[in-house]
Amino acid sequence: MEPKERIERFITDTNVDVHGDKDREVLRDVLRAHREFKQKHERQRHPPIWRSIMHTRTTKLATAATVILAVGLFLIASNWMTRPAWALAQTIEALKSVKAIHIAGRVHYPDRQIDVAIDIWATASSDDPSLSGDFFYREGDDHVCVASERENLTYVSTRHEAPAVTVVYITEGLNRRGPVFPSGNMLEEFKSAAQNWQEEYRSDPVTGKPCVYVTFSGPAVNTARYWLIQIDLTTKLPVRAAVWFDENRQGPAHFEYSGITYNPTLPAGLFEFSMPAGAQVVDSRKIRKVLVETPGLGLPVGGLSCEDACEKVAQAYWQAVIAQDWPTARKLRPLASDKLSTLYTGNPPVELLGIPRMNHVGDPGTLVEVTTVIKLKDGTTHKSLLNVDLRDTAVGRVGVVAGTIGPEFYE
Amino acid sequence: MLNDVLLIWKFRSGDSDALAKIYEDHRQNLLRIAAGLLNQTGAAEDVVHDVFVQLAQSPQRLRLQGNLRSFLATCVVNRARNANKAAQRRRTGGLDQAEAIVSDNPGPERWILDNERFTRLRNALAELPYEQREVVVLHLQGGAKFRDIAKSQGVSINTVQSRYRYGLERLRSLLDGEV
Repeated sequence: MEPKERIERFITDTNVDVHGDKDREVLRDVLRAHREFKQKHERQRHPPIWRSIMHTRTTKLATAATVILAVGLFLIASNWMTRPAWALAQTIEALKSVKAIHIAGRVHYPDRQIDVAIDIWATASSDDPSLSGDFFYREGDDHVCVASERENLTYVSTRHEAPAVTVVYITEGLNRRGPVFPSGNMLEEFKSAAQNWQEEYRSDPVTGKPCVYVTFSGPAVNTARYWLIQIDLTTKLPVRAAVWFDENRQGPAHFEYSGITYNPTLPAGLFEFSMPAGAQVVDSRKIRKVLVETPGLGLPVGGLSCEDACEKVAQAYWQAVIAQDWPTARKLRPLASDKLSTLYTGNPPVELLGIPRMNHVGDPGTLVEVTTVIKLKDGTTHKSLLNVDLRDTAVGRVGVVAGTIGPEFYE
Repeated sequence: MLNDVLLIWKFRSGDSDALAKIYEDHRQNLLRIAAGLLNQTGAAEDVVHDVFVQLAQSPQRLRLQGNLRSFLATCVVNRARNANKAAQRRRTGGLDQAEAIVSDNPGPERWILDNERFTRLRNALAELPYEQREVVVLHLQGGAKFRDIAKSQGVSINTVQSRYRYGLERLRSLLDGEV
């Protein structure tokens, strides 16, 4: 490692420790301040919906779909606001009757010059109508996410090309990708955030129905820059939406939702996940169980970003394996504890050459996939795709290796 | 990232548990940043305490421009900058102000516990000019990009990169043999 990298690593990896009692005392101060604030301001606004457009590809896709729908609904409200005051209330009232949505569309990948079909179904959460409850998202044939409110579980299925394997993540809670559901609460957010929006009244070229085409540029949040919503003036509901990442609307839209259905008949078993044949299952409940039952497992990663923590866990794991320090390696990879030392017999790893890539960083419903490059004793170099779970425990935040995606080594 | 957005959503909707989770997730890193920027532990603790209290009193300020970590780190840096200027003013003040700058007595209970490695780093950071220290800490511990630091410091990105380079070189010589 270069001297510059060594000093950078030293700074990045150096943490402070905190005094528990003092820590709790400060938290009490903070919560007291929050209580006092709430007493003064009883009514709290929801956070900006704009910010719900995520960085990761999959969350962007799913969230954008529901966000766009909400934008459309807001714009109906805005249109009515110039007319009698009852219109807005009527729109908000109408939103209350939306209990489920189906959105069909496509996403365009400019780097590969391909369009991939997407399909989203969602119901309003029974606890909070601004969030989805049951949620289904499918992109092409490679990616499915199902969040089941009944089971309180989320399933994410992704097809990997290298190593060639379908992985299914099972996580506790509704870790859905696209949590926003159209509701009256959103209207205020869009009212304050939409910029330069324009309305053009014309008929739909296919159906001939009178529509309003609303265009606007949004605030510079992540990638979405230019929006188009087509609203049916008869039903007052959006029938089409599109998003460009270029404020000059160059090229094809990156997302296009051409089929939006409100309160659709939900197909039977839609939110019941079907396990693909031969899939590798990563069940985070098993990891939680073993961490609860055996204190001291994992590597403390408090205060680190997700990327830094995952890198630290992956490095520590390979260091332990290379040193054949099996007690430490078992602590870092507790689910493989019985067979760990046998995984690397014959041609053991001798050097961690790099960590070139991480996938699913901060992506709900999955664990982080850390690509590591390993040199083996025979001099060959291979990749190993480690699955890293970061979890809050009684002793603070820890990271563990849940396993590998596919075989221990590939390529 | 999505978790951050949901957390902020809940916090802005008045959920105290969400605020506690934000606190739990970020206070250690913010203490690390503040302590790296300020020579006095007490002052660093005050800065982080005040950032969280202010956050609790103004949830509407919390709008994710980039991410929660950067937002909170920026709040800490702004306050630390002010605290540093105030400390400089005190150092150039009269004898009647001497008591305020004498020492950093640990007092009955400190939030930050002594940690040999961090103490070494902190002592080395204290040797850097404040601007260099801020760039190094913000970039490596706050996760800030050079262009954002440049904007925050009101200088060009080249200047920030130079400060970073000089800062690291100096730290390397100060910590030589220990890293």
